[in-house]
Amino acid sequence: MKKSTASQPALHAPPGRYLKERLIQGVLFACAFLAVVVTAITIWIFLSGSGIFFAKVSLWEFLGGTRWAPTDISTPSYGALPLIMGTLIITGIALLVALPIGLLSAIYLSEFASERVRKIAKPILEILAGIPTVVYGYFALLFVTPLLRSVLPDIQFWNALSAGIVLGIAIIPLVSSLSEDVIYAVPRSLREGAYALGATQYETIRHVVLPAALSGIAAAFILAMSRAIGETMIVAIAAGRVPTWPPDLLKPLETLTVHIVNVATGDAEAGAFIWATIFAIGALLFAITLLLNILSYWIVRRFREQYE
Amino acid sequence: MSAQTLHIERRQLVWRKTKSTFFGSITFSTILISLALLVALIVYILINARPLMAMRAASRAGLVLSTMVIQWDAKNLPYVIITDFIPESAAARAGISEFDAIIHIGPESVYRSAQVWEAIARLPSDALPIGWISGDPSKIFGDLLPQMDPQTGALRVVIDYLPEESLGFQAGLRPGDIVTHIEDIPVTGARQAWEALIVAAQRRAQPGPLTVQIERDGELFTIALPAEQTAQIPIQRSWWRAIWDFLTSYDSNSPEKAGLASAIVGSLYLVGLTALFALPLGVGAAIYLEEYARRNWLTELIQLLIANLAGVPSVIYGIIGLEILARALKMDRVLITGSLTMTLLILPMVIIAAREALRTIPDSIRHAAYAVGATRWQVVRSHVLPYALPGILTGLIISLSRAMGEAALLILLGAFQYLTFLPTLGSYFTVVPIQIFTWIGEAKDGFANIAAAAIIVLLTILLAMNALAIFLRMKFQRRW
Repeated sequence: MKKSTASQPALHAPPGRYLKERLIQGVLFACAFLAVVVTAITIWIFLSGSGIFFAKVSLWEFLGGTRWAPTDISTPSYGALPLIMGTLIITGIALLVALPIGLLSAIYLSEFASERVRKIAKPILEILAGIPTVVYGYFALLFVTPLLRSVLPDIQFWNALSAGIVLGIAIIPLVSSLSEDVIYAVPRSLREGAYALGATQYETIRHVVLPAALSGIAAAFILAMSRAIGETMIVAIAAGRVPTWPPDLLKPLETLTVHIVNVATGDAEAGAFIWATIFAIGALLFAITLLLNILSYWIVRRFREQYE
Repeated sequence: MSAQTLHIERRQLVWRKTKSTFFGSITFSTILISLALLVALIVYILINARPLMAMRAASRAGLVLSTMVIQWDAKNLPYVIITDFIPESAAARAGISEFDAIIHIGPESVYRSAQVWEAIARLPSDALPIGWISGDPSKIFGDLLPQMDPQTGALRVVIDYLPEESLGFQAGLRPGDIVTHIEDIPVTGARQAWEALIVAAQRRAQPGPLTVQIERDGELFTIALPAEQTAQIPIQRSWWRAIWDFLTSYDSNSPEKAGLASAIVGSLYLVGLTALFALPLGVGAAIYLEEYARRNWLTELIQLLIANLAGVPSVIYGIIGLEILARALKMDRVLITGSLTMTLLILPMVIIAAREALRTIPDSIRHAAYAVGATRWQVVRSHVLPYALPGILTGLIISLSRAMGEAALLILLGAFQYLTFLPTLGSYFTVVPIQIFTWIGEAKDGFANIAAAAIIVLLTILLAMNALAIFLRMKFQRRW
């Protein structure tokens, strides 16, 4: 809305009003611009922090070495492969749990559930989503691991399997709510077209609804993956905080995030070289999650089916 | 021919319909799985938190316990001792002091502190029948001295000095006696004699005298030694007292005494401060993006970055907070640093929620205000914001409940502390999720139970916050 220059004196803006407006706009812009500042600071911190690390350790040793022993005083070793594989294993187990359950829940909620059932079922998933991760860690360590031990007697007190399974449970709500949004957004006319051709409900979902929602579901899966990679507390509590190579599902392992927690809870002095490792690890983590987030953003934009 | 085709089609149809129904029930079962998991989690935590009442009652009565181990014949034999003497407590009045070993509760032998708590929970009356052996062996045997047998060269244990008020003297032991066996356990050392008493007493079904074999002047004697003392200790069992004690005491090395006071105060401070920082910043950014921003590359970039920052793992924010605020700006790892970093974590969520709330306000409201000559800020301040406020606050509370449960970020900012004071803005601090994390890591019996109790406290706070959000939404939300 443009203010017209008023011809009558009574309608003149009070002096300083324009300045005040500009000032407020400036302050509001600064709030929004904070996102740029934070991102820039993050990138700068990780670049400069990793600089110290990679001045001493080659990139090849970091990404290809299989021995992670930064606290070893006589022969420190900085091969991050155990941590990377640990992260991938935990994420893999979590996705095996979360993707089918989350997607099927989403299909149920948007395609099968009556309004009454929806009103009960959705809060269940929302409560699961709201439970803090330390609580899931407790559940994994003291409930799921003993339960698994009755099937797999060899399983250790700290192990990758129960941490992965419980991490999967923790991200079910994320998968289901994101997928449900996109499945729900598929227009009714498509379903009705399929029914008109004689398709059953299963065939409609399988051949019409899911393909139409595919890009959104893929984006949801990628976000779930990014969330699983960045998850810290469940793994720190239940998976044992010991880097192992080769990794084993029934044994303790360490992930990228857990290494950062280990350094922070350890007794290393500020300025010790071990603090540099958290920048290298953090940079790797930041890069992976950023890449996945951008990928999901891009998939949604690129492959979105436009209706109408 | 045509009838046959029809028949096949009908069979196909039945099959296709069955498949559809089957698929529907599979999708439904996933909801049941989620429900079952939720129920299992909550029930498990409630069960694990149950001993809290007995633990608190025990510590109030002066029974602060530890499970210890006697290493014997390559076996670990557990027993329970008092680790903390509380003067003026019921136990102290009954004559129990520090390091005494608890052997029986009523007619049952106890090996672990958890058994004592179970017994207290099951007690029919408010008196705990307890049998214990003094932790000070000199009160039983006086001073025992290991000696070499001059003939055989074997090690044996001689009573060197025995005060008259000791249990052993009253039972008939005298200085110079060689203690050879307690029940059937051979005595080989001074400390081991006491451990043999514990093991022998634990084997008995009731508190009672133990037989001690001695050698006096070359002859063998058997003496009945009433080493185990008994008393009835009054126990006040009350859930209200237990919960109050748990919420108002500081962390401790003994799970019966450890409480959540510093963690709760730290959490409330942290969440309150975070709200104070995040609300103006988040709403400001949302107003700019919704009401002011032109569609250009900068706006696009800001939106993309906000969406991305929402997906960055919390440990990454922890590193940023640690490096910039705590180290570069020398703010140290204190509460205010923690809440500023937490603000960064939840800010994207707050912005996204606030934008959605602003978007629900129809343009007609804005147009009406512009039409009477309001400036853009006046429109926002007196028309758009008041209507959007309930939605914004709901989003803020949901984001704050994320902050309430967040642990990883705060571990980096030093909230991993053993506190025995209430934190203030400039002090080191701890929060409830981190207190839970610390307690899960403790090996001692009972810490898993108080961790479960702390989880219930945390979930209750979260539930209250969400109820407030739902209330705000129901009460103030309007449809346009």
